[in-house]
Amino acid sequence: MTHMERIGATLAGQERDRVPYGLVTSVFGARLADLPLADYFSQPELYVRGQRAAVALLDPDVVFTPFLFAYHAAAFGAPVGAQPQAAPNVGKPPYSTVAAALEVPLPDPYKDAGLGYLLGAARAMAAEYGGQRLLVAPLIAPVDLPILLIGMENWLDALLFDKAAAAALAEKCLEHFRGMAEAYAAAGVNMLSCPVMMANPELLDMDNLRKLALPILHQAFAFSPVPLVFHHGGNRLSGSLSLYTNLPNLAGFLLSPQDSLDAARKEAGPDCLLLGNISGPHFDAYGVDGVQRQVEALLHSMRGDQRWMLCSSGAELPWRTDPAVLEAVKQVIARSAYE
Amino acid sequence: MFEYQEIELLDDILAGNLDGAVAKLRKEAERSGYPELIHGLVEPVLRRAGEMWGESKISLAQSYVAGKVTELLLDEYLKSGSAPVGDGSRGVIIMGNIEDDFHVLGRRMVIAFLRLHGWQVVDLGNDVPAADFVDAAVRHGACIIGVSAMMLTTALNIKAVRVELDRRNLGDSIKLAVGGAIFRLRPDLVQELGADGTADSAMEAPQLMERLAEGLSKKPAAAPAG
Repeated sequence: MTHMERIGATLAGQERDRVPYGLVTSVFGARLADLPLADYFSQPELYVRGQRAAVALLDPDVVFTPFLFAYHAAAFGAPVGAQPQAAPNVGKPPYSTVAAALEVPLPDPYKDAGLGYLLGAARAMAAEYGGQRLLVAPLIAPVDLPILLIGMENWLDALLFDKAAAAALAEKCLEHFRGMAEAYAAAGVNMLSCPVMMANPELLDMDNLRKLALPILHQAFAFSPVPLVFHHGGNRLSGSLSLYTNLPNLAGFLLSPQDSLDAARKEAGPDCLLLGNISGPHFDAYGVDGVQRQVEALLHSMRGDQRWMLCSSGAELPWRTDPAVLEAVKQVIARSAYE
Repeated sequence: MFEYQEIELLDDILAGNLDGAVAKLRKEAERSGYPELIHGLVEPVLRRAGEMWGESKISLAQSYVAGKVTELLLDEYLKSGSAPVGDGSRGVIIMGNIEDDFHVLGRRMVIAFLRLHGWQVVDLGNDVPAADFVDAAVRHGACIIGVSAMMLTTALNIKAVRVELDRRNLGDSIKLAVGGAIFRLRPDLVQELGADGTADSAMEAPQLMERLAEGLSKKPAAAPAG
């Protein structure tokens, strides 16, 4: 099977020659290609060079555009700082009130420098891998972007005690989401991965979740020209999946390392795509043997499940991880094809 | 006994009824006084809310409401003029969020509880560089620096406060207390960052500070006049 045939079979719930897989190497690609992060995260062609190195090492079925939400915040005026061995990050949220964030003009995805980089990288990745591997673009949820703009506490405060203001900011972030989803689709992205924090019952109370967060997400997913994966956003999804299964254009769920894939399958039903859930940030600690054991355990627990793909969950793989650890994933997956 | 029961206060918090909860607490304070109300009603409910958060039985938003109710009530108490505030009888503490950290609510609650217990607190605010903590401690004659951080990435910046204290040979006269959500998840960080202690909740911060102050081998330098 080719990568895309394997992906297609998985989406259709048909038999595959092996489990398709992908690891988020958005930052790690720079290490593999020995590229300075400042250049890598400003020049789309260098991002592709880094991903080319990752593809050479892993031969994955799924590849990703930059996992870089700070540039969305920067487009709204947030200061973004470089970090050693990690993607640029937002330091201080630029606004302390919803009102201040509402005054900022909606950024144009095609004119803003940071968003232009994200879309340029998406176009370059599509030119390199389009039609050959599943190209996924991470896109920040409209209910989470306010965290980067006004801070978690101010956003919680608005959601709880100033619902009109919260709804206005969420609407503005929804417009941004729509513009970026359309631009990513036009760039050749096959699927969006949308991490969601502020529609999870661990973070938001059910009243706000049902009245504000879910309706906004519903609209956001409906706008998307390509299918979306609901990404765990750093929190458990098991126990809450039924809240999201009716979202339009939903391709499936990327589960957190704390989730049980078995339990998620029972909850989501047999037709839902599940992705996950080896912990990316633990790759270095696992080492080669540990990663092999983890992947083998996942393959064993999900044997026979045709709608599951192996993906790293959580944040990026640590920069210091030995590339042999990543390669071990490929070897276990390849071995599984012959068993 | 309070007319406003623990279970009612907890229900109001979980329902996000901030104004209702504070109004009822205010009324209750008129009847029983703030100290009795805080220790007899608010603290047990806060403790229960903290346990429920730890057990994933309530959301971050509900936990935030619990903190907000407490903060507003303590503010009213402090403004009432009847609170034992700022007499400095127990000493001076420097408080702030470490560089790059902007999560204010936890810190403000800790400060309110410390003031209620007679500590004089100098609040440096958010995003405070390590050297500024130590400079302020020396300037005010503080015996403790309390540093708050919510995330692992920002908590790691606290290490620089320990380095700065040791560099100036102040480790025997100024203790380093740390707090924030990450320390409940990763208690090992306290030692890793070179801190002298932490508390699981804002309510427990005064006891922590007392313990740390008792353990000082040298008295802090007196604050300059004025």
